[in-house]
Amino acid sequence: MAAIDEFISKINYLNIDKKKREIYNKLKNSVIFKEMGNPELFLLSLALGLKHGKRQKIVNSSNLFRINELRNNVWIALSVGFAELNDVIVFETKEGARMAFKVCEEYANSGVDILNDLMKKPSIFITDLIEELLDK
Amino acid sequence: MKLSKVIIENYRGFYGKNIIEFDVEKKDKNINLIIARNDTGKTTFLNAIYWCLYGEEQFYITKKSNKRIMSNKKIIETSIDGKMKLMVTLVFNDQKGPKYEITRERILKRARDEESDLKTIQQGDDLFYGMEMNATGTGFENIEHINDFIASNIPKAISSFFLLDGEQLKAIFTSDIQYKIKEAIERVANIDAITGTISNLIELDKKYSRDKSGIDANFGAIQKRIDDCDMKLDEHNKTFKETMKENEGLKRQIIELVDFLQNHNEAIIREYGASERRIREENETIDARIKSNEADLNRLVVESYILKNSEGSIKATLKKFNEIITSGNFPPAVDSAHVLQLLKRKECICGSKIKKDSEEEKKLKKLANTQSYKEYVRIISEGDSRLPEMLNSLDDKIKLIADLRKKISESELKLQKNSKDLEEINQKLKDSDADDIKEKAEEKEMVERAIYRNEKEIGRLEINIHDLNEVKKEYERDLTNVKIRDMKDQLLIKKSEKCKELINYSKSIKEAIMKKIKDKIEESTARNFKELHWKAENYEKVSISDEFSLSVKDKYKGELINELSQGAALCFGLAFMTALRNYSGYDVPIIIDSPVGKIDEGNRENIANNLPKQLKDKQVIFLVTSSEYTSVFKEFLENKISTTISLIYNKKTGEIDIKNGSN
Repeated sequence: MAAIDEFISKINYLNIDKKKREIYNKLKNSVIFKEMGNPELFLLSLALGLKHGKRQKIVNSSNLFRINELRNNVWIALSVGFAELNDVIVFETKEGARMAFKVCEEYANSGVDILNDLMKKPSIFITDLIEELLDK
Repeated sequence: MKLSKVIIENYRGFYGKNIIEFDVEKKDKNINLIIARNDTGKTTFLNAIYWCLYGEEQFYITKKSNKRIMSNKKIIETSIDGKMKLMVTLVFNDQKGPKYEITRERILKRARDEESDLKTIQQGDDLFYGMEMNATGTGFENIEHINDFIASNIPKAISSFFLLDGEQLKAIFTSDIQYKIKEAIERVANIDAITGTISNLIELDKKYSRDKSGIDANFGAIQKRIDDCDMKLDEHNKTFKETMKENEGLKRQIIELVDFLQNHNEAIIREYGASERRIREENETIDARIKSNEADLNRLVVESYILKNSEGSIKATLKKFNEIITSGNFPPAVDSAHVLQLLKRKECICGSKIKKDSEEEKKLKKLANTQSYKEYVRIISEGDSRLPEMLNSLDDKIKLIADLRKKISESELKLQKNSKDLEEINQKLKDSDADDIKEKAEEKEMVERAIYRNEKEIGRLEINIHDLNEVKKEYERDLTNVKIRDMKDQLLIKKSEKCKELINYSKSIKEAIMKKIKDKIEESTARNFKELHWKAENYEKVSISDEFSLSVKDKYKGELINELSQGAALCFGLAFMTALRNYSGYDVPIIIDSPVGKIDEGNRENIANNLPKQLKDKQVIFLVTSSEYTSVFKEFLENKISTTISLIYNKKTGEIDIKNGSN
């Protein structure tokens, strides 16, 4: 068992605000995300929130999925949290890790709206993402 | 046929071999006399003849008479278990001499019996045989069927007309008389052939009735089944013809369609069709591949986008990890449980007391909550290894994205090309009347299916029609059999009717013959009676009624048949028997025991004078006692007597001696 898995084993769920749950579910059932999992949708929302620099606090939590479902991508989440908090406590204590995941949840909570807007033109959504990636 | 010799051996009183011979050569003398005292063998002689012919005795007063017919003397002289023979032989002559010789033999064994010295046991059946002079008169030959011979020539039924006991003559009027007279007339009429014919016809008629099958109840049912078969056959044949006609039409249609399709280059159209199908199948494959690629692309794009946007965070984290690893700035390796104990005691690691919310307390709390040194190192090391990998994978993913886009693009180009090809094919098909050909081809397929269905139906109908015809044939055979039985019945009914006609006809012939003979016998009886009975003029009318009852009436028309005196009854009996004898077709001698036993001289004179005349040319043997053979009787008979034999009881030997002439 990897050390990171053991480290996060007692942290249960990633959340989103209850108000965003409906949007999240709609996106999850869309053609593009139907074939993907919850971690991909959550991380994409997080990435969009991060890109646009938008964090939104969660007032009422709604469980999305278990953190261990992130698998290798847990490093992305912890990295985002660390970069935001700038404290190694993220890797030292479970409390620190929780704080990092909370940052991720807040970015995703904001990013889900952005994603929802982008998905209003699903035909060009992926193309736009590709263009953005290839312009790197 | 005249009785010329009687040989009696060991029969009752006739001990040893006894021969009684009659002279049959004197044509004008037909009377033979056997004279004997009472109990000296007259009746035994009569019984010996009867026994020889029929195997039983007849002329004893009661039927319970001693049945021991073997001579007592012979029994006595035979040792116990010794065998003895008794035998009677009758020799009959015709004009040329001896003609028939009839013999009956019986073998007996003497048995031991304490109560009777004369106990005998018969050994086997009687030996009964006969001999007949051959046609050349040179020797005797065996008569093959002796019983048939007797039944034809001397039937037992007519025995009472030639073997008579005068003293018992009256009995014929007193018991079963009507039947016996009718039977007697029937016998003398010799109409056995007609009677037999009638019996045979009655049996035949019964047989025809038995053989009739009667009206067959199935007749109607079978006819109905045949009608049902015909109805079904009509329906099937109609459907069969219609289907055949329809099929012929369909076949003509097929020929036209085939012609059309051949003339419109169907092969090329088929090829276009095949190409179209192939392209469409290829498009399906390409579509599936595009979808798969797009799904992969989407996933890669999302993953890459996440990585790209997290790139700064990851790099910052890596930088920190690098600092930690480079500086070795890891938290101290302490036991968190020990630190928690220190916090509880408000003590520092160095042993000094710490204040609440002080900087030291905060540091201790953090220390207590920190991963162990070992775990922390592992996490940092793991992150330091994984995060660069993830960052590095971004370029690969972007490359893959480019490849996938290219692939998808190529596939889309291929689809476009295929689409163009399809358009071209469709255009070619349009130019080739393809729709029409397709329509015709489909029509051809439909017509072919219809023909197939029709041919199946035709096959089914043929089987049904064949089966129905077979069933019908069977019913028709049944019906024919019923009809044949009916025809046979009709034939049997006709035969039966014909039988009845023949029976009635034969009966009428028989009745006519019977009546004629009855009338003659009636007339002859009346005439004979008048000649035999001295007071016959007192009897006005002798008759035989239509019911065959004898009647003798006086001049006052009173019936006297049951009131005749002994003498009158004997005369009437002799008159009747003589009449019967004279009208009988049987040529046998008449033997009368005691012909004048109980009658007076007047009647004896009449009988002696007239009976030989009435029985002219017939051999007559009278068995008389010396008291019957009176001088008057002797005087009237004398010139008619052929043979006289006396039977004399020999007191010394206890035997019957036979002597020619009167004693």
